[in-house]
Amino acid sequence: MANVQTQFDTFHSDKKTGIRLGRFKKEKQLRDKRNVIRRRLKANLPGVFAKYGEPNLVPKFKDQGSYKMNTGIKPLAGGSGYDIDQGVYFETPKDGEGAYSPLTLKKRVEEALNGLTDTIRIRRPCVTVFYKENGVEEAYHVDLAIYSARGSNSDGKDYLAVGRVGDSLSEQEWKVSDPAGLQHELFRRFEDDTHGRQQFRRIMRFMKRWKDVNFSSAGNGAPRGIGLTLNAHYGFTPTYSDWLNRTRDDLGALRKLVDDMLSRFSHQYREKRQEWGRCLIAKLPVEPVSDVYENMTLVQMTSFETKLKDLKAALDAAHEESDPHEACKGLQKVFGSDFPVPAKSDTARKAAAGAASSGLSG
Amino acid sequence: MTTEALEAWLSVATATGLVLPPGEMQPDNDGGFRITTTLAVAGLSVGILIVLAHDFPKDAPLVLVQDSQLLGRLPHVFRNAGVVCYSTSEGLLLNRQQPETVLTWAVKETIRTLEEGLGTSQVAEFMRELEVYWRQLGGPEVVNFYNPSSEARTLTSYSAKDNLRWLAGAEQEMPPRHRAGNKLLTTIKEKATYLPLLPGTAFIPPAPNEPFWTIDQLRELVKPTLMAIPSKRRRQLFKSGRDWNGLLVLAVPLVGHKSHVTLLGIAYTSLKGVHPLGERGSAFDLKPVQLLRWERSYLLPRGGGKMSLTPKKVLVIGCGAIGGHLAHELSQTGILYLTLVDGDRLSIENMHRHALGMAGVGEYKAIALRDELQRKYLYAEVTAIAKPIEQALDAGEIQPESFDLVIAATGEATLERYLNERLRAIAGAPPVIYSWLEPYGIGGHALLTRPHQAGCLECLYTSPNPDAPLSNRALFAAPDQQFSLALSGCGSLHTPYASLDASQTATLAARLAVEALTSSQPESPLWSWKGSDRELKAAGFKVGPRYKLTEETLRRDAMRYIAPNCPVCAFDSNTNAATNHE
Repeated sequence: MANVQTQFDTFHSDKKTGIRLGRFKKEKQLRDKRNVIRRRLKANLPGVFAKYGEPNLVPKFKDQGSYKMNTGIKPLAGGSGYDIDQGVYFETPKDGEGAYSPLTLKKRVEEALNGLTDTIRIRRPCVTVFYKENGVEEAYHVDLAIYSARGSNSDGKDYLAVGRVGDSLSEQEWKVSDPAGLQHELFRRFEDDTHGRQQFRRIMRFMKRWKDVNFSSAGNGAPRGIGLTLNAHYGFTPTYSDWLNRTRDDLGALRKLVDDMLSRFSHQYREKRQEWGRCLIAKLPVEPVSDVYENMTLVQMTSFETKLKDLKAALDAAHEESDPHEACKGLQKVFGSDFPVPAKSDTARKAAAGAASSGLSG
Repeated sequence: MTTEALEAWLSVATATGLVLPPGEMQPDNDGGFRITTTLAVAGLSVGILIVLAHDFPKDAPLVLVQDSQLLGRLPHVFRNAGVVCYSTSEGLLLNRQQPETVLTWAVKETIRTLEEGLGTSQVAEFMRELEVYWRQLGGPEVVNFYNPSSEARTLTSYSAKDNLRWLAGAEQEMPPRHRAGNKLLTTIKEKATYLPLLPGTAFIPPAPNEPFWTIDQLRELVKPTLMAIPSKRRRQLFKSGRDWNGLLVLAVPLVGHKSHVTLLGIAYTSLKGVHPLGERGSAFDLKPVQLLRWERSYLLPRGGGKMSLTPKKVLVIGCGAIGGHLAHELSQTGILYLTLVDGDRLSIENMHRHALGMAGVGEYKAIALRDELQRKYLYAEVTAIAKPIEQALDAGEIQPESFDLVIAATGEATLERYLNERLRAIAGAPPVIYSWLEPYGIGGHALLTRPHQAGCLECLYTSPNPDAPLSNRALFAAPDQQFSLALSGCGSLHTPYASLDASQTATLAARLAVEALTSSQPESPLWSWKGSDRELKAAGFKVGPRYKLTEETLRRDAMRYIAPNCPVCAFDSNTNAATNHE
């Protein structure tokens, strides 16, 4: 069994080639943009609401998504680019007198941001502000999730505005959503377990990168990142080669997770699509307690399972392989070219020392 | 307490009828006060004296009954001076800020005590404190080594020079130094009779200012007990012959306790040489004897020891800083049979961190420690083997399987790994605890291992990474750092640690030992205590990743050290599992 933890560490954390999206360096650009958006909304929204003869609503902002959870990864070249998720909360009820339709409120936001960049688009779950960089259109973006805040709703819950231009009123939806509650659920078990929490984050990042490398980004073909996060929530167990010193064993942790995910594929009824079929479910542990994979077709599910099996085969092979060079070459196939492969010469066994300091007394 | 405050209390107490007039108060010579007054107790008017010391209320007030007529009839009152024992002094918290409340409390408790003593429970109250009243009778002292039982039997009373007298049933009951093997003791033996009285036997003990029991009074008292003994057995116990002097031991069941007894000693002289409970004659002279409770069934639980541990045999390998403290701790928990192995002598440089201190310097540690333990703990039965453990094992001087537990604290990692392998290979080997400490107060460890169970010392040296340097994975300091200091050349190399670190590690190992021996610990845990890393870092050394875990995590991880690829225990625990399945 080769020890490839060093390569996993590099793959994850290396300043240049690592997949980890730092919260303080690379994302500074995104944070700056987020702040510009916050300021712009505060400045322009009063005018927009006034224009429509509506009472002014002062937005409150909360970070959310992988940025907030610190599970973000760098995008692949040619992929969908960096993003940051921003919750925008308005004190306005989701229903009853004076309630906005989801789309209307999103349009107000869009209008307040008008002219900030070339491309601002209303997508079903959010309002997205795209940025250009080095001539690349839509190089990175900020997703704004628009909420009707809990203080305005009789059930005390936050509701996400879902709907895009062209959706009829019946297609629009105020959808109960609790990103902070989700984060709490995901990390609760690691409250006093720093090592476990760190490994959990690393494993989520590896799975997301595996997804980016192995699925095309268009449509619902790829499992959503949040789905993989939930699969990890249910299937991850902290794994160490030396528990006493918490020596990381990310390969072991990945093998356990992938085994767990594969074991959960089964023939079941998919409520949203009203069909029976073999699938994996990623159920939110908070409201709306729905399956985040519900929009994937059975064909996509089959492809998901096949690719997971390939991942398992690669992980198992790396586990069996005694030469780190060979093991990492196999891992590179599933995690992409950023996964480092040590040169042959690095991997020769060192001769064991005949004596060392015991460090103890009696 | 000021005069004014005292006068104010007295007037209130008189007005409310707590104390009755005439309440008189006067300062005494020591700066305290004396109050002479009367209490109304069960329809009687009892004259009392309340004595307040100059620093009252640091101590509770002394209350004395002044009425000599009442003295002999009152339990909880010392019959000579009349001091009322109205409260235990142990575990008492007095309200020093409000002395008047202490006075009121003392008077109320006195009234309650006297009322109970004069009421229907008078005899029962005497029985409750029987030992105290017996002690007031005085008489010669005899040390008791006999562990009280519920059967009447004959004991032996020994007398040596210097009026040293003791009592025992069997030789083995006595501490080692009192046994026949001790040539320093020349003893005269006499017959003694142990007689446990029937439960419910109650009487008022003789008063010190009255004549002691006559033979007829004694016979009357023990009659129901004697009648309950089969006559054949009675004849054996009280057979006449050469009984000019002897000792009677009455075991009186303690009220409210199942197994505790009060032991009353009575010496008899018989002009005819017969047993006072076997014959009718009256030519007997009886005198009270004070039995000192030195028997192990009384002393060990009193000192916090566990009786279940007394028969356990423990082998301690290594009598250094940990081993020295550890052997003391084990003795104090009641483990009496220790075998100590160490081939080294105690050097003066280690005096301050060794439990023996100067007493052991220059001596073989094992021998000096044995002598120290036997001097300190009456019942300790310690064997010392002053040679390296390998030699003792090779020579067959030690049969590990004859022990209930082995504890190794040699501080020699290589030796202990060798022992781990060697001891596990012995059929019927006992559990083994390995204990070691780290330098600069950063921590110490104790590992319990059991034969045929996964988890052994070698697991700690089994790294998942074949390229990792050889080291003990439990250590808090980073591996492969050279800690030894030489203050004066290579000959005096030592690892910097203090007695506190050694004794804390010894305490940890001793607790683990008690758990292992009392079966409250069925597993093979690794226990560690974590100290400060300040000194270690100040000396330029580094801590390892394990040090950064919280104490809570360390506790939770107690079984996580087990290496599935351990070359020693993975195999023998597997074979055991396989045989279990067959």
